[in-house]
Order: sequence, then C-alpha cells, then structure tokens
Amino acid sequence: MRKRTLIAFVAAAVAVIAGRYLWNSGNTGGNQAADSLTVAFAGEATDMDPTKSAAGIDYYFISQIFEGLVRVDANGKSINWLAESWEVLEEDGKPLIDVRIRPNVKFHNGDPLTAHDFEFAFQRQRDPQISRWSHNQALVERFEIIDDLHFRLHFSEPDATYVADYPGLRLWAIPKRYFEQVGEAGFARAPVGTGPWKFVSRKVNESLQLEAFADYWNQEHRPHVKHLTIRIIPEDLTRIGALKTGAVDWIDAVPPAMIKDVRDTPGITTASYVSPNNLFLQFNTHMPDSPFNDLRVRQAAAHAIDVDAIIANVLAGQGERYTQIGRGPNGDDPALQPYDYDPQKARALLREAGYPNGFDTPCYNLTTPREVNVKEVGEAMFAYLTAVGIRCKVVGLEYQAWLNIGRRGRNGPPEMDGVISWMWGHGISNDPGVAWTGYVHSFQPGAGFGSYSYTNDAQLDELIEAQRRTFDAEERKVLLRRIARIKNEQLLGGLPTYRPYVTFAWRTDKVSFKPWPDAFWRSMQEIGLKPSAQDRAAAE
Amino acid sequence: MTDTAIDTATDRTPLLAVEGLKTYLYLRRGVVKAIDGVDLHVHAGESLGIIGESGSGKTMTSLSIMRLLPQPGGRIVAGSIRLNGVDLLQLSERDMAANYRGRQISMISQDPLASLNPVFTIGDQVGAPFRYHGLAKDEADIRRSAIDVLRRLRIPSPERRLDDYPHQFSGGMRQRVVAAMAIACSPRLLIADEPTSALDVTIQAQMLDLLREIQHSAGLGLILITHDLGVAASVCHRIAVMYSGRIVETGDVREIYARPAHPYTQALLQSLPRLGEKKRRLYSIAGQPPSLLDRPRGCAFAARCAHRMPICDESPPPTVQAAPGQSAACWLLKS
Amino acid sequence: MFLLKRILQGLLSIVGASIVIFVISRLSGDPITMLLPVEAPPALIEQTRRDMGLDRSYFEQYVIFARHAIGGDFGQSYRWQMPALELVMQRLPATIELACAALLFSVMIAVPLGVLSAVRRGSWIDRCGNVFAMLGQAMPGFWVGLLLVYFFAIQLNWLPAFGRGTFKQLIMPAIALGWYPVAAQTRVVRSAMLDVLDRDYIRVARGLGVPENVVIWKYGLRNALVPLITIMGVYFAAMLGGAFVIEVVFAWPGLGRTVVEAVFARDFPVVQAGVLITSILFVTSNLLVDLSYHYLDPRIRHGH
Repeated sequence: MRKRTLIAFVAAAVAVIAGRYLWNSGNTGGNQAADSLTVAFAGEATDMDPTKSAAGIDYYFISQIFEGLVRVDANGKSINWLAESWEVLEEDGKPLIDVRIRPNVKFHNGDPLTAHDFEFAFQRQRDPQISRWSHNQALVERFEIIDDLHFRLHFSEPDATYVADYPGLRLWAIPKRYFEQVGEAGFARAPVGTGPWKFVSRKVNESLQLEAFADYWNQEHRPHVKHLTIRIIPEDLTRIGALKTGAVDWIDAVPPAMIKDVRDTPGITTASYVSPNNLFLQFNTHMPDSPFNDLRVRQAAAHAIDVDAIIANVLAGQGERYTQIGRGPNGDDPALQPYDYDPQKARALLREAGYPNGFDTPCYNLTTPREVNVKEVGEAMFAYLTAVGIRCKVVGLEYQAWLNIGRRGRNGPPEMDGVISWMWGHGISNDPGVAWTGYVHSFQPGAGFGSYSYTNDAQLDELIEAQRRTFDAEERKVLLRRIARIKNEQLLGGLPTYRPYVTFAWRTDKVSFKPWPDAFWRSMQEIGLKPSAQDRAAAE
Repeated sequence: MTDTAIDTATDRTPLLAVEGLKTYLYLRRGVVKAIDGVDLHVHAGESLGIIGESGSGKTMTSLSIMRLLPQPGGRIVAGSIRLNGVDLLQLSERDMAANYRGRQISMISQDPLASLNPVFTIGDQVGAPFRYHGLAKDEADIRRSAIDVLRRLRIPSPERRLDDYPHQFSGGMRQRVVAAMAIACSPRLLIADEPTSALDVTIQAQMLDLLREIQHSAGLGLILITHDLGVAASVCHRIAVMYSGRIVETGDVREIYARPAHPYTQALLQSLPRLGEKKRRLYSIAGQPPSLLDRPRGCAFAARCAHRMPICDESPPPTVQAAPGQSAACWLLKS
Repeated sequence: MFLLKRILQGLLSIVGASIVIFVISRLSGDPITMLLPVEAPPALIEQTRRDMGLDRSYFEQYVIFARHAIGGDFGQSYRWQMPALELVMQRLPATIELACAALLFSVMIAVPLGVLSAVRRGSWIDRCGNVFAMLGQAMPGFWVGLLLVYFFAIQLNWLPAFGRGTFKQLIMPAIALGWYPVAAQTRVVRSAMLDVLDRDYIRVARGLGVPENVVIWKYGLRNALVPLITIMGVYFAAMLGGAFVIEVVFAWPGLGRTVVEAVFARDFPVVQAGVLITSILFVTSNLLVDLSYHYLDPRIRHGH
C-alpha cells in the first residue's frame, strides 16, 4: 500500500523527466539547422534596451540589433551610418547639430525610420528615471524635427563628446510606434531595431537567437548567414572545448594561456584586436601628506615598472603599451614616449625627493577579472614598485569595493590613500575626452567633473573644458595633444600602463568574419558562412 | 521435569551426532579455542540441555551446528556434525542455507526484541522461511502459512497482527513470534539459546511450557542452552555440562543432579541456593576459568578442583563412564 | 500536528533568512555605483538612489519589500530589467534538475560501494572504496568538472561540454556536482551497515536460511537508510543552493550562478528572491527528510 504509492510516485517522476528529455532531444542548438552559425561569448548582456543599459557588456547584444547615426569602422575611421550627413552649425550664438537621416531604412517590423524615432529615443535617453546616461544629454536643450528625415539638436553649450562618443551622436534608433504599442516590458522581451540582426528569442543565461534581417539597409556590409545563435559559456576551457568539438563556430576571449594551443589547432583561425580599454595606475595626489604629490616620486614609479616584461610574461604578449591615449585617431601622439624601465633612476629620484629608504603605501588592486589577468598584472606592477622602495601593502578588492574606493565625494572612509590600479575605456573611437573629464579634471561634484580624479591642476582643467567645447575635429585634436603632453610630463591623472588584447577564434572552413570595433569587437555585422560550407549545408 | 520416558539406548541412530568438534576463533590477539573436542548427540523427540557458565563454549556449539560462526575469524577446524547421517560440515554454504537452516535446523536466541528486524512487519519476517524455502505458492499462501504458525504459537488475532511491527508486541509475544519463525518450516532440530534469560520470571514459565509443547507436538529434537540448572531440570531429558570448550559430564538429567560425577558439576550443584537452607554465605567456586587463548595442557578445571592430582595438570582426562548412561571426563573416575 | 509545527518552524526560518540577507546585502555595498556608468555625475547618483528607495532606513525598506513580497512582487532586477522573482523562478527547474541528477549519481555509487565495503570489510573492495571516497573529498568539484570537460568533451568528444537540454548534457555536470557527496555518503552507508550486520536479527535471518544477498540488501540495508537519508538531505540542500562553480564550468543555467552574480552586482531584488527560493527549498528538503523517517522507521511512526 504505502510502498506501492511510493513506487508509483517515483515512476511518475521518472516518466516526467524522461519525457522532457525525449521531447527536447531535437533542440540541441542552432548548429544543426542549415545556414546557421553558433557563436559563444564569455559574458552575457543583461539589458537589451539601448536606452536603459549601462554596462559595456550590454552592447554585445544591443549592437547586433540596434544602430546609431555615426559609426567607427574597422580602420578606426568615423563614418556616417544611419545619418546620411550631418554638420555643426550655429544659431543665436549656440551650437546645433543638423542631421539628415538616410532614407529607406526600415525597422525589423517594417516600420520606416524617421526623425520621430530619434526624438523618441532622445526623450527616453535624457530622462534620469529611464536612462543611466541621461547626463550625456544634459547639454542638449531642444530636439527640433524639421521633417521626417531631418532634425536638429540644439545645444545650450558646445559638447564635442556628443560627436566623439559611442554611438556617434549618442542617439539610438528606437521604433517609436512599436514601442508605444507593446510598452516597455514588451519591448524588453522582443526588441526591434534597424540592425543587421533581428531578434528571435532569448533564454536568459543561455542563449540569444537572431535572424538576419532581410530588408537591412546596408547591402554592402551585412552578414552572410541566415541564423545566428549566441551562447553564453563563461568557463574558458568549456568554451574552447565547444569550439574544438564543433559545438560552436566562433568564440571570443581566448585566454592568453590557451592562445598558442588554439592557434595550433588545425582548422581554427585566431585573431587578436586591441580592446578599447586603457589601464593605468592612479596616485594619491589629493591628500596633503602624500609622497606622490612630489613629481619625482611619480617619475620614480614610472621608471620602476617594466610594463613590457609584464605584458610579455603575465599577459603572454596579449597587451599593448600606450603612452596617453592609445593607437588610433583622436589625439594620439606618436611622438610622446613612455617612461623607460630604469630602477636605478627610480631609486635615485626617490633619494632626491627625500626618501632614501623608500616609504610604505597601500596599493589597491582589482581582483575581479574585468580584464584578463588584471589581478596578476596589478600584483606584478606593485612588486616592481616595492623593489625600488615604494613598498606596497597590496589590498585586493572585488569590483564593487574597488569602484567604491576609487570614487570621490563619498561621505566617509575608506579614502584612496596610495596607489590604485584603474581602468577607463576611451570609447570605441579612442576618444579620451569623456574619460579625462572623469579622472583627470579636478573633482567638482556640482558640475559632474572628476568623480574619479585625484588631480587638481588648473591648466589641465581649463584645457579639458576647452576640448569639450570644440566641435572642430582638428582644433580639438590640438587640444587633446596638449593635454596628453602635460599629462605625460607631469604624470598627472596617473601612469598609463597597457591596453589589453582580446583574441577571437573560429572555424576556418566554416566562418568568414570581418571585425567591426563596436561592442569591443563582438559586433556580428559581417559574419558569414563560407560559400563551401553553404553549399554543403544546402546539399544536406 | 519431563514425564515421557524416552528411549536413549545408543543403538538408535541419533538425530544429531557431533563428534570431535573443534571450533577456533582466529583473532588478532591469538587463536581462541572456543570448542576443543566436543562429542554429543540428540535423538528425535529428546531435549538435551547444554549447561555452562559464560565462555564455556555453549553458544559456540549452537553456532557451529548452524554454521553461523562470527566472521571474520571463526572456523570449524575438526570434527563432524551429522544430521540424520548427513555431515553438515561437508555441505556448501548455499546448500546449507537453502535446505537446512530454517528448514531442518532452527535456532532461537536470547533476546527476542533484538532477534526481530524493527523495520519489517512480523508478517514479512514470519513469512520469510516459507518464502525462501519455496514452501508456498504465492503471496497469499505465504500469508496464510504465517497466520497458521502464529496461531499455533497462541498469538491472538494473527490475521490482524501480521502488519504490525515488533515493537508493537509485548516481550512474551515477541518470543513467541521468534519461536514461530523458527518452527515455521517444521524443522527436525531446534536449538534454543538461553530462551528465557531475557524474560521476566512470570513469562519464563510460559516459555518453557511452550518449548515442551512444541517438542511434544512436532517430535523434534531440542537443544536447550542455559546457565540455569533449574530451567534445564524442567525441560531436558539429558544434559551436557560444558567447561572451557569441552564437555565434562553428560547424562540423564535426574541422575546427574542426584549423583554428579565430575567435580565441576558437583560444585555447580553445590552453589545452588536451596529453599529452607540456612547459610551465611553462598558457595561459589574459587578461581576463574582459564583463558581460552592459552589453555592448560591438562584438565582445564584442575586449577580450581578440590581433588586435584598431578596427572590432572599433565594430560587432559579421558571421558569415562561413571554410571549407565552417564559419563564424565575426569581422572578421578579412571582410577 | 507534527507537520504543522515543522511548517511553521520552516516559515520562521525563511523569514529570518530574508531579513538577514536584506540587511547584509545592503551593508555589503552600493548597487548604484555599479549600475550607473563610471562618469555619472554625483547628482545623478543621488537621484537614482532616491528613485530606487535606497536612501531610506533599512527598516523602512524592509517593510516596503515585505509588503510587496507577500503579493509575489520582489521588485525589478537592477540589471536584468525583469521581475526578480520571475528571473529566479526561470532558473529553478535547471537547478532542481541538476541537484536531483547529482544526488541520484552519488547515491548510485555510494550505496553499493558502502554496502560492499561493509560486507567485505578489510578486503580490497573496502580499501579501494576508501581511497575512492578520499579522492572524492580531496578533489574539488570544479576541478573534476574541468577534467571531465577536458577528457570527455575535448579529447574524446563523447559528451557535449556545456548547456542544458539533452540527457547527454546532464551527465558531466551531475557527476562533477555529485562527486563530493559520494565520499561522505559511502562512509555513512558503510558504518551504518557495519553496525546493522552485527545485529542479532541479521544472524537470525541467516539462521532461517534467508539467502545472503537478501539478508544484506533487504533486511540489512533497510536499517541503514535513516542515516543515509539524513546525509542525503544535507547534501541535497547544499546542492540546491551552491552549484555555482559547476554551473559556470558547464554553462548550466541554474540558480547558483544567477544569485552569485547578483551578489557581486549588488542586485538586491534578485539576491532577495534567490535567497528566499533557496531557503524554501532548504526547508522543504529538511521537511521531506523528517517525513521520510516516519516512513522508514516504524518505531518513529508509532511514537517510540
């Protein structure tokens, strides 16, 4: 009796589980279907609404579905995208940006792209209750619609970062009619944009299914495969295993330790690109007793670290030294030289500064791997400092605590009272303007300057504010270079160290991949099934 | 006392004949010679009592007959145990389990609560002998047979109690259940190891009545192991007295009690308190039995014996007939 | 009556856990700095903090939370823009499935191994079993997981390396997760069986001619189940909440990853919802174990 009911219960449970598996056994992934590719990312986007997202990783998904007015191509050149043309004009002494929209662009649901859609996006993006980037729209006082394909942004003050930042001209193409139809929750569940990929379905923490948009406006640069599945596999070995066994066709973030192994695997192509994230060390130059207030001490720190050795050994070569901005347009000055590795000189400088026996200082290190091996790199750099006499007491912090300590203007301790390993992306387009406003300009909470800055230099402040007001690209470049030069000579705003590489790998015979820099190179703008593979697939 | 005269003439083939049995326990600290040369026999319908103090080897004897020696280490090293002529020691383990244990020979132990598996119904446990000896056709048949044997053992409302668990029975009932399991398949030989020691005095008498009744109605041979001379007297026809792994005296129970031949038996009987006797101190035998790891060369009882002679320490005494139907192993009788 | 009392106790534990987590997560850090981009001005930070209600006292926040929670509303995840409870419930089946599979695997190994080790005490089986059990406790689950991926997925290509959906994908994560409990469960079964096999009723069963394998596997094992179920319950509850590393290694979409990531991101609604669901599972699992005692041991059933 009792035994029998127990057996019946167990049998029912087994039947349910077995049934579920048998039913599901067909759905092993998009790889089985013809004309499809499966890619795997290590991290997952949380948000797919471009007006609401805040984290860089969200663009992994957003960039496939949504687009902006201006874009940076694979050569680092800024090109018009959804904007057919645009220019900076003036009216009543105030600047404005006049934008003409490319005609015949459709959203995934067939609706045409008009100025009303950009106005809709603007209203959402400037609302602090909706968007995390509302401060970016702060200087736009009015959005003027001239006709369906023509609008103007009226600024109260010039804001050059509006052009330089990602996405260029800072406005996303959001389908107003569709959004109002389905509401915010509906849009989050089934987003619609103008991008090369159409949203099909999503399983949170598992995968995103996309389909190539047949009516995509850009027939020159578009994907050449019909179905794309993006899977999320956080563990490195598992992700590489999935590539090797053919379960996925393309992976991102091959860790430095495994690059050689993956490169040597037959049938696999690897490619490395510099990730638009700049890592540097910040010094305590905001407290009166800090030894780092003395330029010689900062110079000693700069000479103490062998960045090239760290890149070669800790990152297995997967990094690139940069002086102030990084390789690319927008102000990078190849004439600027980094500080060379010279520990003798470092010790001499310390002696000169009055620290013949060195000194002790806390050194804050990020332990969460926001970048590959960032913890190990930090530890190596601090070891070099210790070797010349800047004796580091290393404090490991996880991401949230690290953000907390770096931020100025909190109501209490702990203070950043030593050295901290920091990072700030200079945007896809390598534009340092926004970044420097945050970590070089002196801290002025009211104006939103210097939230993560320990520097207090009037000249730099003036230059940074000036570059923000300068729409003219050439003039701006001159200003940026001046700032970079002063930064380098005075070692203000920290000591630049490296920019990390990110390595991708894919199946040579199956995948053709042309990289676009958006979303840290995860943009699937031009990914495709190779013709031979397509034939094979069609024949099946 | 029994009231039936049983013919114990040696020309009738005994039901059970044990000859030269030696059971040793191979332990880490050495070899324990638990049984060191034992001869005994039991006839059908007869009850033999094995008397001895703890450590004398009486429980080992029953375990040896059942071939349920403690593992690892227990081994029968010599001798034969014949049941109706078949030497049990030559049988395979499977044969023993399938055809003999629970079927031809059964055992009842001392503690009825510990003998019953607490998580199975008594229906399952009493039905087990029927099930595993293939004596029933199907589940319903097993149930019926179990009810039958429980009824035979005078357990009230057996149909309803089949689905009860051991802890739902009183002590006396439990012992009946254990007995039911043992006699379920009508064995020829029943071994009862201290069947009354764990019971209250009032129930002891019931138990002994039950044993006598079982033996009488089934005509089986009964070996009753006990340290209690009174119990032996009330149930057994013959007794064998064990000391330190050997049998020191065998014979008719009334004869031995009246005229014990072996000094140990004499001392045992002397130590029984008697009604009406006035004594300041109870008689107890001085000394301890020898360690079974290191037994003396000669008679094991010599160290405590009042009639000790030099030869007693040198060689073990032979078994000598003291009277018709009574024999003892003592040098005294030899002279 | 017993059941009612236990359920009430369970509810109390769950509420207590939710309060503790509520306070601790808010003490652990500030979600706003993680939600907003790095260059967000302080004014925006404060505004967002007010909009999210995080500037109020803990007590006030808890009352608001509790009021909504009773109606099933745990708020929106700060990161995922979807209801926190829905997010957590989506992951629940995957976690339960993995935990059940891992438990089944561990029991399938531990019971025979434990019984054989007890029956053949001191033999090579016993010693092998002991070594195996020690290895189980010495090798961490994620390492076992990585080894499995390396050998069976990459080198041999017998099993898929990641994901959930087919039976094949369940095998390696279940083994990696169930590996550690095997050791403890084997020991428990072994020691319980050793104790049981020493008992009189086992000897009596043998004495009745019951075949040896029935003696061990029916009459013996049944008595060893109570300690086994107890330890199974402990590990099952742990597996429900703590399969995080296994989930990362195998890209298994379970609750562990979601909650841990939420903790790092200070995504309070998800942490709260996740902890609540996990504590319900925990309490239920304990309750089931307690109930099973009733079923397994008739002496407990009848109140002895």
